[in-house]
Amino acid sequence: MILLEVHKNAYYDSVTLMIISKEVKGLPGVRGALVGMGTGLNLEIARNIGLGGEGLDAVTANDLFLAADCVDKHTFAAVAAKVEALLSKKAEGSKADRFPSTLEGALKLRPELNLALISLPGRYAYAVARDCLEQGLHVMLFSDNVSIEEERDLKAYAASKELLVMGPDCGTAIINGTPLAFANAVRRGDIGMVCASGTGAQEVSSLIDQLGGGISQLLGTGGRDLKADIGGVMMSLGLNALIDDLATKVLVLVSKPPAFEIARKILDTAAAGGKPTVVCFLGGDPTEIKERGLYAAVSLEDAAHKAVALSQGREPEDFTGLALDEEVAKAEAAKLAPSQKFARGLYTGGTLCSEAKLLMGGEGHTFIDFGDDAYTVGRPHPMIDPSLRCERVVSEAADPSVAVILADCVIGYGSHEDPAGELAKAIRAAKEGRSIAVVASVCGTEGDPQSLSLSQRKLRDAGAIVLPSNAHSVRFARRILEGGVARE
Amino acid sequence: MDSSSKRNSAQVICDYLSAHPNEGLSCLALGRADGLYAPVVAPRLEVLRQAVRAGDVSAAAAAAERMAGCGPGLTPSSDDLLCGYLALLPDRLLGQAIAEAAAGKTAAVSAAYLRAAGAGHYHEDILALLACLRFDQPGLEDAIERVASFGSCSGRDFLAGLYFGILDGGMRIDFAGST
Repeated sequence: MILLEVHKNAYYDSVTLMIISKEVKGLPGVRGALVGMGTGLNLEIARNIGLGGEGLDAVTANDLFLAADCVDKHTFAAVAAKVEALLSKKAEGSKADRFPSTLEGALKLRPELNLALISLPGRYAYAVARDCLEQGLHVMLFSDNVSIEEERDLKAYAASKELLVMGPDCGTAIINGTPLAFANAVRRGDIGMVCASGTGAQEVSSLIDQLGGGISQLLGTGGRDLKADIGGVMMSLGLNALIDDLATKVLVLVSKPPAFEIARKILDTAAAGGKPTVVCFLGGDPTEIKERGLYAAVSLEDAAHKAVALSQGREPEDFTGLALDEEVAKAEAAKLAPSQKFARGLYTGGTLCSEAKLLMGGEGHTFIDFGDDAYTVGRPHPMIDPSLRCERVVSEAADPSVAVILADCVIGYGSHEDPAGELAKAIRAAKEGRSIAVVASVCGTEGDPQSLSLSQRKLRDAGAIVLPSNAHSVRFARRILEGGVARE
Repeated sequence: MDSSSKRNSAQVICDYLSAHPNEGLSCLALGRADGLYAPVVAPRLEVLRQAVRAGDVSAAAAAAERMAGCGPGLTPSSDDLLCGYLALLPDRLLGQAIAEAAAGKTAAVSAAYLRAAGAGHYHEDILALLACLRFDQPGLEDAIERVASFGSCSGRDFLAGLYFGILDGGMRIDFAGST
């Protein structure tokens, strides 16, 4: 007797089908069996080997069919039971180690998930981000090339649901102690940060860690959040979230100076929150900040010092100290030829580059951000692939007007596995046969995979003067350019 | 790719299938027609190959239609073999005609794979294998092994098709950037 079992429009993977075929053929009392999709040719083969029957005509190409020639009714029942068991067993086993390929699948599997990290190409990012928000997920949008209109729509919708949209083009966040994308291994603590800047956030959070403080949450907003088009929606939302957060005692805001109206809104929110707040609007006017009883930072480094002081119950002071004594600056200056007058800042971190340019001031100095779009067409960001910056360190050193090369070295998750080693090679080549000062700082922590102290040592061994922060490096470079004597 | 390395690549695939036969159509690449399905497919594949070598689009489409949907698994073996055969076919219109004809005779999932293959779209492991073949890149054995691991039979059926594709003039022209 012929058993015909049909699963209409069924989807079972080939491995399951093979197992069924093998097991059924091996059952006692089965003279022959065929398992497959009900395509014309497969059905024809079934008929040809004597497994045909009237039911077979109704089978279509999208049906799974099993035809078995059984000696009796018991075998018939045993085959049916076996198939049923195998199909349901597969369904159970596949749940455990499944790797869901859709958002819906992932949420079914882990309904407690509430944050999506999206790093699709920009043109697909909006739709997926919107989808995530509709499902009630916070979004970290690593993607760039998302239009300002799309950003505005996403953020307005997210704000209406009290969800965060960190981004677009947001490279850094630390959520519940977990670094996301480009971020450092920073200890946990009571300082909460909202940043519209990637390496700015990394510099401040790493220095906080080095100074003995810790981070409750570090939220990114994407660099355009405080522009008039967006209106600081996410900085406001993030700020309010951290004001409400019991684990956050001190707040730090980092951004380029926003438009006046937006700055006022943000600063009013911060002042109303009642938590000590350090505001680092790089290059901005501190008056509005101080008027509201908030703390204005003069640099990223200063923001970290002030936040840690507040966290430890001390009154913060502007930090502009110098870790090396003036003799070192004098000695460096003495080695330079009269033609060597200018600084070249060669940076992988955008905010670090802007900060250096601001703090250096003066004329004739040049600062290049190798993360700028002009340098990243068709190649990875310089924090991942530092080769272009390294080549430039060597070639700029050959310019007879250059006295000091300033460079950053950003370590941590996401970065190149050994940026200090690569930079050290370039520094050695740059200093070969000529006197030039290289002043560098490492942005990162001891807990980072590349290690802060090891990275610093690699740079020192190559002949660089290594200082604890970017702002510190710039102050020291200025000393060298001024002949080793403070003229402020 | 010159004819000697073409023969070599075909031989490497053949050797792999000889050492790792499947229950589908891999035996065809070894010159045998074992089991239930291969004897049905073998003569039909021969008709298809002759039509392809002659550049006869309608004959090739008719032959593909006759051999589609044959074999075990969610994607019947003959469909996987066709996908492999199309992968190196230099004539995209011919490939599309074959894929479309076969797609009409098989299950939806398999038809989707066939149409994608006709359009030159493949899984990245397959693209890596094709790059090895076209540009004589290292890592051919590893790439074959990864493709062979698809599904239960599918990967090796695909390799069998690819083998015939190489013999029938695949890799004649430089495909750089076309997939």
